[in-house]
Amino acid sequence: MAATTLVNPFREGISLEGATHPVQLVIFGASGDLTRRKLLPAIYNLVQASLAPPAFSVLGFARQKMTDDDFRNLLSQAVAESGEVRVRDAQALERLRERTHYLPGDFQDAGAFATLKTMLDAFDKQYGTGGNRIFYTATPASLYGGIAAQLHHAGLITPPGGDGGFVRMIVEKPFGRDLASAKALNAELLRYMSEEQIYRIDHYLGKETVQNILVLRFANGIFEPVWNRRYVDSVQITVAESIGIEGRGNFYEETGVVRDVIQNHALQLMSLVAMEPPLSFDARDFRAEKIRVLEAIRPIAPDDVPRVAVRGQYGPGSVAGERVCGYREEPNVNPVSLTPTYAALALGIDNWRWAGVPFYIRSGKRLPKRITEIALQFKEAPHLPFRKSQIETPGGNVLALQIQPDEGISLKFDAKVPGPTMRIRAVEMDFTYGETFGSKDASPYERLILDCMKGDQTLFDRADGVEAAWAIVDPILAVWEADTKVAFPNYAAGTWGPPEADELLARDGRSWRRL
Amino acid sequence: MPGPDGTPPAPVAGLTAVPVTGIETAIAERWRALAHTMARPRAHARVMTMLVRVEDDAATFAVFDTVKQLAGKHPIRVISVGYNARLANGVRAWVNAGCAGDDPRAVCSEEIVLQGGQTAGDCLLSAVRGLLVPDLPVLLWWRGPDVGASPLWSGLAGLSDRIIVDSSDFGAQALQVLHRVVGEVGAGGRRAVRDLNWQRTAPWRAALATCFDDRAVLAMLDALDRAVITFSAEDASAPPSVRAQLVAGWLCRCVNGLQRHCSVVPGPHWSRDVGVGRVVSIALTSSRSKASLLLVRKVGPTRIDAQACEGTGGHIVRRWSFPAATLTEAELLDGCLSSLGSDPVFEAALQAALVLS
Ligand SMILES: NC(=O)c1ccc[n+]([C@@H]2O[C@H](COP(=O)([O-])OP(=O)(O)OC[C@H]3O[C@@H](n4cnc5c(N)ncnc54)[C@H](OP(=O)(O)O)[C@@H]3O)[C@@H](O)[C@H]2O)c1
Repeated sequence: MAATTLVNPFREGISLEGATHPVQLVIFGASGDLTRRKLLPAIYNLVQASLAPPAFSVLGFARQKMTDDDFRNLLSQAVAESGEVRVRDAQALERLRERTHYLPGDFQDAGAFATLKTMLDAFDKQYGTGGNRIFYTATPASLYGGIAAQLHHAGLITPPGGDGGFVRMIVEKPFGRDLASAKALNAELLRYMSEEQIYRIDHYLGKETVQNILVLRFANGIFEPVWNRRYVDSVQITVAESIGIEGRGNFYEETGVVRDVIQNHALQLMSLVAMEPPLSFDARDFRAEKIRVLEAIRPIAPDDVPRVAVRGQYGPGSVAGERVCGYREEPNVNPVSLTPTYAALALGIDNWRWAGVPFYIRSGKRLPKRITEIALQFKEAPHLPFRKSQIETPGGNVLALQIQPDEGISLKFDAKVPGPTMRIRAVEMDFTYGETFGSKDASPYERLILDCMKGDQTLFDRADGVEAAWAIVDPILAVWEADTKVAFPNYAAGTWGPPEADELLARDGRSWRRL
Repeated sequence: MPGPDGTPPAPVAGLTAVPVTGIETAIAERWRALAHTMARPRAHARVMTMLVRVEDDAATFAVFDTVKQLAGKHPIRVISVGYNARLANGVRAWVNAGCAGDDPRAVCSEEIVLQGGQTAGDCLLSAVRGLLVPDLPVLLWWRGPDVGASPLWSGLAGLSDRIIVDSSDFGAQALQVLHRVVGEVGAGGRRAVRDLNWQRTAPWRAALATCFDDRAVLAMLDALDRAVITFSAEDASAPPSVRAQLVAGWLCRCVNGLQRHCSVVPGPHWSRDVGVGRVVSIALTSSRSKASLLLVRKVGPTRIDAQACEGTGGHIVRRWSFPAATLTEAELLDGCLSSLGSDPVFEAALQAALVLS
């Protein structure tokens, strides 16, 4: 007899904004920075907005000795301090506190995982969570594989589709530190669970405005026809931060700007701007297109690295009116460090849509301001009948998609200055999400944890997607790490990076947008 | 105080009296004046025109309070329209424009109030017609019981894409009136009707749906063949509340065979704590076993507690507690603003409720 799938008849027409399946969320690294600053406020927001399922509990796991009450107090404190909390609701916080627990233990200790299993089984009965579990790795990246192995040995990973409830694992970035280690980590995770259980998170994809790139492109008829090599001259992606490394010297020395931002956030943005329209916005179609465009990015041969990539490191300077030290003077940083805090790349995409259109990417610390934007520079009008007129700033139209801090879209075009003579000046038409939709966005972590609860992998990376992104930056990292004859620092804090970054574009007859 | 030309005083503080022909200019001037006080110049985004039919002077304050909350969340042009017995003829207008919240999340809205004498229906409509924001959706919030009967109704409804009514205002024949309005307005498929009273049942529907998301509970559904919806009432002879009837209709539409054993009953003892007409419990039981699902409203904090019992021994197998704070009128409207198109589930529930009644 064919198995019949039971369908809940009451669901029709009822918003599925919230997660519906009961679940326990286990946070590895519950005493850490990410948990306190991002995860606990996001979880609170989900509970407060009734988006988390009614049958829900949280269990924190880390080495630090804490009782349930200590961890609950940490939760209350995290909620009190967070700027991402939308509504301060004592009852909702209490509801969450009652369902929050803590287990002290070492991730290398199999005994701790046996205890974890006993606790989770007991909470299943207490909270009616039906064996559904999400494991979140908010730990040093070197521990991700080991945690998966321990979970497996403790019998905490059941295959999908079985009777034992679902098991999903959210894996934080960084996912590997180069192509080889990313492949090794993928292989290790896939030894214990299937791809559909792995949620590789890049919180950039959880941002409303990043998702809106897709809506702008694929829900409007007017943009897509000009979104190609015929009309677009070049694309600039800027991920600029004005802050330095904020005391995380150990972390940054190991990471640098390429691993921290370019390999993940910047390439995510590039893939969204450049991808072909997916058949649908479901995980399979959307991720397939995103990965396809990453794979079409022209591989960089080692000899080409000096021509297409520029690195930088900030020296002392001043940002927003304050004097700041150079990178090498930051705590826990090697005084002769060669870690890049700035990178600029010129990439090309080998497909019909983008052949010949350069994608310039830049990211850095201690730049003049915090801004993330994607700008499409359109080609100039083929013929200007206003030859005798005063044109203030010649140049084509620019469509800029600003991701942060003020999410919005602006279009630069030329307009006539009112008056008896023909004078032309560029004007900018600005659209800001905040002014149109007012309400405060959900934080990216909130959105992505909720998606994981719902089993929606659309906004998470697939194994081959992570590897494709590493394959792009791997040669650059290899060349830079081998070449130690670089004169760092080469840009002053508070400036837009080293002069070589300007030359990268000047060679092509272009310049960076003045932001 | 009346204005120099005999214009009645502004219906609420903050509005400026203007001639009807000067409304757009007055709003544009207001924006220009505000631009000087803003951190940076802005382009105004607008997402829709919202027409509000204000049933009488006394309602004006309540309407404005609700509209203020909405205007703080959506950049809309609100045009409220109503009769004013003190106006002999012609139409009077007042305007305001402003932003709520801090840059860059300040939401900027425009409010226009139009009032006319009892015979000024056509003039009011003509004024409204000239003030709609081009190309954007028009939403009509019709307040009051006289839906269909007022001369303004067909004119305003004809200009709108979506119409919001509140069937709790409709009195004894509420289901029939609602059905007529849905039929009239929805004909042709361009316009849709939303009912705030149906919107108020959303927490119950969401709670029930979540209970049945649990596979063990869903497996019991076949056995559940009886339903009782209890509503808060002043006495045991109270006629069924339309809200409870809509929930009953929805249940019957979702579960085949429930029609014959689905009842809506008054719960007089509830009226101490809960407003009359509101749903206070839903019980789904089985004629064949001890399986049941019971949802009950609780107060302090306001919530819906639910429990499912298995069929053999009647033991509790699942419990839930759903927060269910009472929704304000502004929140209910917000829900209507956010959802697009018609609501086939509501329309089917209404049909089923009519059959049951
Ligand atoms: N912080 C951020 O904003 C951010 C943003 C994006 C991605 N991430 C990534 O998220 C991960 C966590 O970052 P973080 O900043 O939260 O790091 P963190 O502050 O150093 O926290 C690490 C956590 O892991 C626990 N831990 C480490 N080794 C352990 C072991 N052997 N057994 C048990 N617990 C152990 C620590 O517990 P004890 O202290 O109790 O030992 C601590 O709770 C990192 O991979 C990071 O790259 C962080």
